[in-house]
Amino acid sequence: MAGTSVYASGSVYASGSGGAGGRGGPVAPPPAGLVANERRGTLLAAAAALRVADAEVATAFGQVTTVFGGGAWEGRAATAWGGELSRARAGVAEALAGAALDCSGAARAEPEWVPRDDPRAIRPVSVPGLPLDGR
Amino acid sequence: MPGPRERVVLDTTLIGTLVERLKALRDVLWRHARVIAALVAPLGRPGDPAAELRRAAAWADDAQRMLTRRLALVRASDEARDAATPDGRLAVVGTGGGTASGGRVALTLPPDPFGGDGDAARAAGTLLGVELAGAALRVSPDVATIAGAAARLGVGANDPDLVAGFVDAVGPDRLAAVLRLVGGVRGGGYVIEATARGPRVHASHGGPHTLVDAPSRRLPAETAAALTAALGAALATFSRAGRLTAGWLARFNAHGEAGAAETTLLGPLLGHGRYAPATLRLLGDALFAGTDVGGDHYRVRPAPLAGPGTGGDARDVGLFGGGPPAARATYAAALLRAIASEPALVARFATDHVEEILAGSRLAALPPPVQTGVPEQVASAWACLARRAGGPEARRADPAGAATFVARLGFAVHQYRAAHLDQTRRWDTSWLLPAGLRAAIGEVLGVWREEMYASVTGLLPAADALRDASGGALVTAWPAAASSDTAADTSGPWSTRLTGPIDGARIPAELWADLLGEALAAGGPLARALATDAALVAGRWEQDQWAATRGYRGDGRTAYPASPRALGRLRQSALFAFFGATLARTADQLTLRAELDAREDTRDTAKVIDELAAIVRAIKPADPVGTLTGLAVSVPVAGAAADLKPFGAPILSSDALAAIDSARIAVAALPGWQAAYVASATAVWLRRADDPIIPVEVTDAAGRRRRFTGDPRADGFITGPLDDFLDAAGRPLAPERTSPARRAAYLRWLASPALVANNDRLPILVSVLPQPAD
Repeated sequence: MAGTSVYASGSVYASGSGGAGGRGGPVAPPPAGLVANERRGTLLAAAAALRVADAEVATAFGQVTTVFGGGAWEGRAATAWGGELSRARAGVAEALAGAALDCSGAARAEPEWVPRDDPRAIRPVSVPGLPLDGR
Repeated sequence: MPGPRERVVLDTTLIGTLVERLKALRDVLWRHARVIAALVAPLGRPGDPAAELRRAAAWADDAQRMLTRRLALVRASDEARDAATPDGRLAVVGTGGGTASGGRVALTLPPDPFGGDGDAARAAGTLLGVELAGAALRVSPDVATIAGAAARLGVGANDPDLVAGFVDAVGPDRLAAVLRLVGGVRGGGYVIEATARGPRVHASHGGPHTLVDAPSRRLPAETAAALTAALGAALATFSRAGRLTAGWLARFNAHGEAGAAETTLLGPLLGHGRYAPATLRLLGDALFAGTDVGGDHYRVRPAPLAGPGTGGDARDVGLFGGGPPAARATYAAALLRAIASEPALVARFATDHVEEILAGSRLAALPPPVQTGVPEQVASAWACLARRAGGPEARRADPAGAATFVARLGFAVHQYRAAHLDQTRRWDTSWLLPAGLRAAIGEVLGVWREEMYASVTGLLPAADALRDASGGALVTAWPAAASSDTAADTSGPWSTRLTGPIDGARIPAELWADLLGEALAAGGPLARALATDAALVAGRWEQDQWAATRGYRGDGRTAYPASPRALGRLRQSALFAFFGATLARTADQLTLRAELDAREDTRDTAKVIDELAAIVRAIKPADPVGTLTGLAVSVPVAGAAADLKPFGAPILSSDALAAIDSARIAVAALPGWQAAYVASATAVWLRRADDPIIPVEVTDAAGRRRRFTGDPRADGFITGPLDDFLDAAGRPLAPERTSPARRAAYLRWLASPALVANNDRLPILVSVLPQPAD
């Protein structure tokens, strides 16, 4: 099973840095007796997914803000709601960016290869019932 | 706890967009929450970004629901502005006018007792519905509870969530039973049964006298009025939310049956709110389908209630058991007036039912002792419908529909007159239109006066789609494509499809003449108003013509065969000639009618003809301003003089007849002037090689100095292949076979200063209305 990560061919993995399956180049063979660190791969995939989410959510928030700021609604309640909108947007952005940074940092602290019997050689189990592609 | 009244400024169109974008944001947040939860959770890192995404998604969902509710409340408040307190509606900012068509609105909203919580509002509505049904549907109605429920419903009647909860809780069948109680409608063949889930109504199937007819089952008038107003406003909100459909109406009966709508019960409610056009259309079509005016008596009967959700066999039954006869008339009048108040609906609706409106109105106007049974309020509502369908609001809100209505109205009047009137054979079997409808037609003509006179003085005949294959007589049946807004009949210059007010000028002159004749026959102030309209149009044309051709005399040495304003004067004369001819024909018809009837009201005819004669005397074809003065001064004097002779001989005065004759004689010289002008102008162009066109320089309305050479390309009338109306040899194409763009360019060229001023064979129409000696 080692070396057959579900992330190896995924776009989220390719956006990570220093991964075993580096972008465009041939996959380097693992040193003797070692296998790919699956935890590191998962951390990189999560960081990439968080950055993608951050960008897409920011765009969706931006489209709401544009219409709201374009004079859709004005008044006391509108001002209050505008504050809620800003806080919701900032809260999501902060959570996503923070988590992406955390995952990237954690991935950097991980070795690229681990012994075959290291717990990190096994891909972390995803939450049951939630498909990885989000669909 | 409700807050204070809130001033809201919002753009209803943008709020709609905002709601859509919030839904999109919610979906994006949910999707990424699932992805990130799957990826991050197994890593055991601190923080929970997926939870933050879910929180934001829930916020976006709440926000879009809050805004949807707020938009509905604002719309309801705006729609109900007529019933609102004067300070309820502050202003409509910018264009668009109201929320129905989008636009920016400023309102002071009453406080929302539910603080924007739609679920809470719905729950409160449900509670209210259960309470009202329980209090009303019992042997002795609980008046105090009903009054309290009516008051609360009245306050929340604009809240779409509260109303939805209320109406769903009561249900259409029990609401019908409540409305019977409110209206004091006896009988109806239903019973009320107490069940564990509240009272239930169903048909009595011929059983013993039921409790619903017990004498104690009456509401005090005040309570009944308050509940009627509250239910009317609430159902209007329900209707605007798109819920008052054929499917709902199919269960709206106290028998608890499927497929029958006791629509008559809605009569008292319709005036208490603004119902959705779709609901009104549905009810209106069924109303006309069940109204028989084809014979000599007004009859109503059950009719199909067409629409989705009815299973195809729903009927508008009026009222089970019949009920008081006036109730149906009240319902019909209220419904027709509600439709008349919807500018975007009224024209198309009235177009589809114009034949019934006219036939019913003629029936209503039959003199005693004939008893046709047409309720006065219904006849009055028919006239209101016609007035609004061709009125200024409908013209703005539905330009194509309004133009089509006017054409269809003219066509129907024309067809009827052609079938029943023959002046040369002294034959008149027509039933007259009532004064109310004549007044409505007169008002419509005032709104469409520019188009009417543009049609009757146009250089090319209008709307040949309404003519038969020979191009001469009008067709005898309204072309099916003309009434459909989805028709593909857009090709060719004579398309039957009228796309807006400007197409009113394509309505044939014969139809305008018949409409004008009907209106003039009312005499009095209406006839004078129509003459004033004619003079106003002539005056504006004169002003426009002058403004567009200032300074044409140029260097003072060039002598043109004619003035470039000659065609304008010709059209002005033709306008007055058309008016005079229609007036003379109307007077002839009135005279014949009076002779054939030989009735006591001949004196009324003589008075109308006196008034028409006074109008003829006031008209000065070359002087629109003088005409206006004459109409304002001499016509009322003549009318007053006629009123001062109550015991005079009921015969037509020779003075009046002489004045009318002068109009008739003048008209005889007119036919064919348009063709004569087109032929002579075309000759000016075709002979340009050996008889050059003298260029004409004018200052146009915009203040620019322009030089017209007569060449349509050089003068800017032909700008490309799309509007090129000349064939390869440089001859104008036959206009009936060219496109509208080419035809329009051709007409502009024919009326251009160079072609008019170089035309030495202009038809002469000097003083078309010989002035009788003062």
